[in-house]
Amino acid sequence: MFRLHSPKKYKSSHDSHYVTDAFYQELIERRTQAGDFQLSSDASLCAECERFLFYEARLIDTGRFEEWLDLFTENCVYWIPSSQEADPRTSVSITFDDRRRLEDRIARLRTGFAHNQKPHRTISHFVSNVEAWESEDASSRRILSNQMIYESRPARPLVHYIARTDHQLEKVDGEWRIAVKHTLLNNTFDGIETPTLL
Amino acid sequence: MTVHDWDHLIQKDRVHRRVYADPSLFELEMANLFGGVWTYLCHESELPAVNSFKTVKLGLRPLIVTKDRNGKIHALANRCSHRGALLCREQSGVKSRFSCPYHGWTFANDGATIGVTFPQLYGDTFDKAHYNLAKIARVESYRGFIFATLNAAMPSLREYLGVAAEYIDMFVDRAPGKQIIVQSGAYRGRYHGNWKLAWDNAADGYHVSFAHRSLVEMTRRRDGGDKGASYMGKGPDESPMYCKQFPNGHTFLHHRPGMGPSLWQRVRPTPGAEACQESMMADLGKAEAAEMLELVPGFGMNLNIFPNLMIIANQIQVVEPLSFDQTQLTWYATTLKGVDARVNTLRMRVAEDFPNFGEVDDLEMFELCWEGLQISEVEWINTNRGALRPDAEVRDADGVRTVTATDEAPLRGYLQAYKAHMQKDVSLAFT
Repeated sequence: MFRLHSPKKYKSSHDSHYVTDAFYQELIERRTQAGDFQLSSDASLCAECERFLFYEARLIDTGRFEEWLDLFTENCVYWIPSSQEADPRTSVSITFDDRRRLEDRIARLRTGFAHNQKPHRTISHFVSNVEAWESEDASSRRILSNQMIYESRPARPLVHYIARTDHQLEKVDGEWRIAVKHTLLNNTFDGIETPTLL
Repeated sequence: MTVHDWDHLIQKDRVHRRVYADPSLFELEMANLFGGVWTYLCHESELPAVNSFKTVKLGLRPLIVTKDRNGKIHALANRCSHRGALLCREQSGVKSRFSCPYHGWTFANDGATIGVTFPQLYGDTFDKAHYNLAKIARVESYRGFIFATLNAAMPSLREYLGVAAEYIDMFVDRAPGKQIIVQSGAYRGRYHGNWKLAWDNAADGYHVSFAHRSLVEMTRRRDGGDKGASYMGKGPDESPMYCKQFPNGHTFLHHRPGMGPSLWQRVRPTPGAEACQESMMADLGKAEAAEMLELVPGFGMNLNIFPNLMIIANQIQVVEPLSFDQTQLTWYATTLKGVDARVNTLRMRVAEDFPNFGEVDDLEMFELCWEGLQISEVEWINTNRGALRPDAEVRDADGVRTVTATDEAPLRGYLQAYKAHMQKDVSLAFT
C-alpha cells in the first residue's frame, strides 16, 4: 500500500505565504461563528455534502492519499487543535498543516520507512450527523459532521478517534475543494497516537 | 520487600530486562525515584497570577501545585483529608480555595482547612488544623522549573542538578531578558511500554538515521538534505555533535554545533514561515528580523533531568509513568515574553513538526522494544557502545563524561544513577 513512489505527482508547494495573522484570525472567528453561512434544509445539497464526505473518507480509507490531497485548495489548512479554545498562534496544535506540510505528511507515508505504519494500518472513517451550511451567495460551503475514525494494525490495539469535523469548502475551477478542515478530537486528554490521517 | 540483586540487574555494559518489565520494580521506582529524588512538577510560568494552580502527578500521586495570595508556591496532596477523594479535577486555573465534591470540606490554597460542613457532630474538641491537606515540605525551583521531593535526606535541588544546571541556564538564557512561558495546551503522546525506554532514547544520537529515516527521507525529498536533522545521516560520530553524561543520571545531547551558523535557515518547512519572515523584515528591518527569527527554532539541545524532565529544542517534555507498561509523554511548547508575536506563532508551528513526523516513530520503537522484552528467557539489553574505549571511565573535574553522538555513555550513566537510587532505603513523607 505504501509505495515508494507516489502514483500521481501533486504540484509541490515551495513556500507558505498565506498563513498570516489575518488567516489565523479568520480561522478562529469561524470556529465559533456561523458568519454568513446558513444551515440548509435543501435535501439535494445535504446529499451532495454527504457524498463529498463519504468520497473523502473513501480516499483515505483506501490509501489514495494523493487524490485526497487533490481535494484541498492551494491555500488550505488541515488543523487538529489541542483543545476547543486554543488559539493556534499561542498554542501548539496536535496538527497544523498548511499545504506544504500536508504534502510532506503524505510524502513521509510514502517513503516506505514510516515505521509506525508497519504492519500496514487500516483506516476506517464513520461519518454521521452531517449538516450542510451555505453562504448567502452560494460561493462557499461548510459541512459539519461527527466522525469516528479507527486505525488498526495486526497485533496492536485498535486506535480510535472521536471527532467533530468542520469542512470549509471553496469552488476551484468548478469543483468544490477543502480550504479548511478543522477536526476537534474529543478524546485527546489522556494521550493519543498521532492520527495517520483524519 | 523483595531484595534485588542490583549488581546482577544493572552491569557496566548491560541491563537485565527485568529492570523494565518487572512490576515490583515499578512500585519501588514510584517511591525511590518519583518522590525519592527531585522530581519535576511544573514551570513557574504555568502559575502566572496569585491563586493560580495546576494539577500534576508526582509519580502516581495526584498533586495540586498552587501559588497562594502571597506568591508562595505549595505542592498539596490532591486528596481530601476526610475520605480521600480527589479534590481538584481541573488541569489548571485560578482558585483561592478547593471544595471537596463529596462532603463539602473546604481548603485554602496553602492547604489549611477552611471549613468542615456540619461540624457539630465532631464535638467541641475538634481542631480543623489537624485536617489540613497533606503537603510537600521540600519544593524548590531552579530558573523557573519547580521540583519536589518527599525525601528529607536529599541534598538541595541545586546540588542534585549539579553541573546540569548550567545547561538549564543555556536554555533559559538563549534569549536574554525574554522570559520563557510554558503554554498550557500540550501534545500528549502515550505508548505501551516502560517509561525508561524513553530515557534510553533521550540522548541517543545513534537511532536518528534509522528510526527517523522517514523524516530524514521526507526532508531530503523536499530540500535535498539541508534541513532538519538530515546532517545526522553523514556519520554522527564524525560530526561536531556530542553527548554528556552528568552525575545523578542527567544527560545531554547537543546537535547545535552541527547545525551551521543560522538555525532559522535550517528549520524545516513551517506553515507561515515566508509570510512571517517577509512581514517581519518589512516592519523591523532585515537585521533585526533575522535576529528575531533565530529565536524560532530550538537550540539543538536535548537536556534530560532525571527522572522526568526533558528539554527538547523549545519544548518541555514530561515523562509520566502510568504503570510499569504504560507511559505518557506530555510535550509543552514554550513562547517568549516580550518578543514579536510572529516569533511565538512560528515557535508553535515548529513545535508541532517533530511530534508529528519524528516522535511517532520513536514511540513505535519503544513499543517494539516492549514486545521484544516479553521474552523472559532472553535476558539482556546491551548498553556497551563506546564502553570499551580506553578512556571510557574518564570524567572531568565535575564528574561529566563527554562523548560523540552515538556513544551509549549517557544511557550507562543514567542507569548507574538509577541503580544507586533504587538501592537506598528511603523514607518519604508529606507534612
